[in-house]
Amino acid sequence: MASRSLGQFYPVASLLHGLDPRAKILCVTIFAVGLFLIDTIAGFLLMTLVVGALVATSRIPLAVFLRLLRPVVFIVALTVFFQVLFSREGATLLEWGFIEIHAGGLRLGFLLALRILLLVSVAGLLTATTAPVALTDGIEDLLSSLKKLRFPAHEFAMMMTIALRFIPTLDEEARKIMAAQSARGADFREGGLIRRSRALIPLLVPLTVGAFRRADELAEAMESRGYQGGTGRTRYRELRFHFRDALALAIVMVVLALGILA
Amino acid sequence: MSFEIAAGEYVGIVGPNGGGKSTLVRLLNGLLVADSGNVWVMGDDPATAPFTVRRRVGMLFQNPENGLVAPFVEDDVAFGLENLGVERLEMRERVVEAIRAVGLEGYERREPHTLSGGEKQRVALAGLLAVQPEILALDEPTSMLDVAGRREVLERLGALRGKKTVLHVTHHLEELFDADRVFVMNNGKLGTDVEPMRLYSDAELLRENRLALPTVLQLALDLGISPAKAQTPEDLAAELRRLAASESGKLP
Amino acid sequence: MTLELRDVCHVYAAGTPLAVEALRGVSLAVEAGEVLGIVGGTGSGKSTLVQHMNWILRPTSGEVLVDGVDAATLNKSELRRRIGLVFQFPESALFAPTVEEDVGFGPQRMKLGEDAVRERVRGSLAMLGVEHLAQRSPFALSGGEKRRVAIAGVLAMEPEVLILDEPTAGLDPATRQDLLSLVRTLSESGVSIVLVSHDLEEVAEVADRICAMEQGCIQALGTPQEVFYKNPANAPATVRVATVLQNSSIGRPVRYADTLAALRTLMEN
Repeated sequence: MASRSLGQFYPVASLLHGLDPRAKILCVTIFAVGLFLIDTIAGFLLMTLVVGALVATSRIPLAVFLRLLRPVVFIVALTVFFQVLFSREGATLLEWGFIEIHAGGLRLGFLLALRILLLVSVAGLLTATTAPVALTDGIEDLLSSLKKLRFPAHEFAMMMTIALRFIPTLDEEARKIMAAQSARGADFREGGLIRRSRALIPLLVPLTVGAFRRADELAEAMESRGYQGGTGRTRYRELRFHFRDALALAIVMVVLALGILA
Repeated sequence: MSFEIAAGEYVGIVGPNGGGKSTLVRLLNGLLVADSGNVWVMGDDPATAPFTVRRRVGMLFQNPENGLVAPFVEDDVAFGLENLGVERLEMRERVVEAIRAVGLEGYERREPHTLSGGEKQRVALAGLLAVQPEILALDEPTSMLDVAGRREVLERLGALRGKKTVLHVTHHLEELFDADRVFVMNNGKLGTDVEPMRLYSDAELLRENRLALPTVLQLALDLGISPAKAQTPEDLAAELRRLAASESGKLP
Repeated sequence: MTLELRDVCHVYAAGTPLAVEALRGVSLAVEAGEVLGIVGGTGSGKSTLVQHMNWILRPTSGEVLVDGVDAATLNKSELRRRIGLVFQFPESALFAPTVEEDVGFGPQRMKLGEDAVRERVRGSLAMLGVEHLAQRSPFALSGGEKRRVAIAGVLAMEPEVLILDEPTAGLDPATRQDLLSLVRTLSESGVSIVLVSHDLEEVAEVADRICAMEQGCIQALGTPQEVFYKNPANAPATVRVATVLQNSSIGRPVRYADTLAALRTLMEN
């Protein structure tokens, strides 16, 4: 069955969906860098508001968007926990045995959590509002300026395209193999670490063999469809930088400046 | 082995597994190179000019799942055109046309892994048609599909009869009902070159090459009825009724 | 063993916007020793249905009963040993360095002794006519051989019910015929068989009963004669020919040999 995994493209029409992928990639990059320059609560609240507004503009249902954040919640909790526990900055709020909680630590922990969540949110917004092909086209385009430095921009983008194409297929295949081995008495959940990793052999071997077979067949199909690398190739999708894309970039920069100064 | 296929011919290739059918079609577009002998495709040798030849020979493989490159249907259909460096406006037109030719309008933005086997194979076919090859080499394109999927794909392939030169490798002999000729391959050799109706009525030839007829044609063969009158069960029934009527008509 | 499904529903991705209702209240029993054919198009729910029979999938609602006992309360590995399931394209799950080890995986998981495992492996490979491949790598075999080895891997657990999901898909005609003979042999030895297939002709040749699925529901259930003659538009070629000739009193043959005999009689008269 088709499943939507982390950050998968969510095909609806929205302002964000309509932006040029290059503009979006640049915005996310600038935003990510900017987030590390902000260190006031007011600045972060502003950013949170902005991201909230972006989510609303993207027309992705909130429930779907929150599901995207779920996998990182644990990591966020863990980092915050250590940050709060080990930071010795500011006034002591609580002391209990060797545990001390300081106001500075709490504040840092809070900001760190927001930073990670905001980062994941904008990255998620990028992948959820940009078709995979457009995303790879955008990356290829942005990286092609590096071609002079012999950076294999086309190959890199083609690899990403193929990965995006086959991730759902391999995911489905893994499920099928697991079910087939379960029917033969395999148990992927029992025992300690060593037994469990041994139990994975009946899954990983066929999955790998299958992936190689797929790769073989894919290579054959690509070759017979005349693929010979990036030279002389045209692109089906056209990337056009509109006024609204420039505007989006400008807005991101202004908002970030406000956040940093706040 | 030696043979020649004229433009516009529809040629079936049948025979047991390991008989050399897949190897043969791969020689045609340079995916494999012959150890000895020559292959000419419209005057070019696929071994030395693979890209020229591949533009003219579209290949459809057994498993459509692994031949689709792009995460969206329309992008995949465009893949061959991108490789050829076709200009974007023309590319758009040809993609629309190819998608229409396989009846997948409305599927442009679907992801391949959400499609049925028959639909995937039609996407693959659209990808070939967009490039406008003169020759289609089909390597068991229906063997992994269910009945409905097979019917869909065959319908689209049938529409190409006469417009393209087609080489069609298959285990399903009934798919070659309208073929001009059928090559029976065994042990890497081109054993026989026959018309489909002769193949359908030659029990010896079928047995020697471990070929199985579909039920209707097998019934016709066992009843001694011409296979030409047994394309569908209904055709066969009509013929039987006619025979029965004329028999009883003779009786007083 | 009797295996019964009672009012089974299954929803994939339940509770999300992408929820798909794959089974809508299916009730069905597999009788001891029978060959039950399950037919239907893509998306009719046949594969989902059979995966409930050995608890690979749990019903969203409804019950699975094994000899009258709720499968939810049974030991799952024991259940899966007794009810063997061969998935579609089962060769994609081959993993061991040799055929022998691969086929021995199931029996080994049952904690049988070394000799017993070897015995089982030899026995099931022999049933499929591939004992000569025991020391080969499963990855170096032909498509038909791989399929046989994969089926042997499930057979080696000596299940009381064997479920085959599209066992002949993508195979050449000779291997198909062999697998259908295997179904007959197993059935004669008392194993119940559930054969899922979109190929009506092959189901017609071996099934005692047919269950026709459509959009997650049972559309017809009965003997091949009942099911196919009720809906000849969706029946094997034999039935389609005979249906057109119904008023010539040739009876209602389903299997090839019966149909051929009936048509011969018709032509001679």
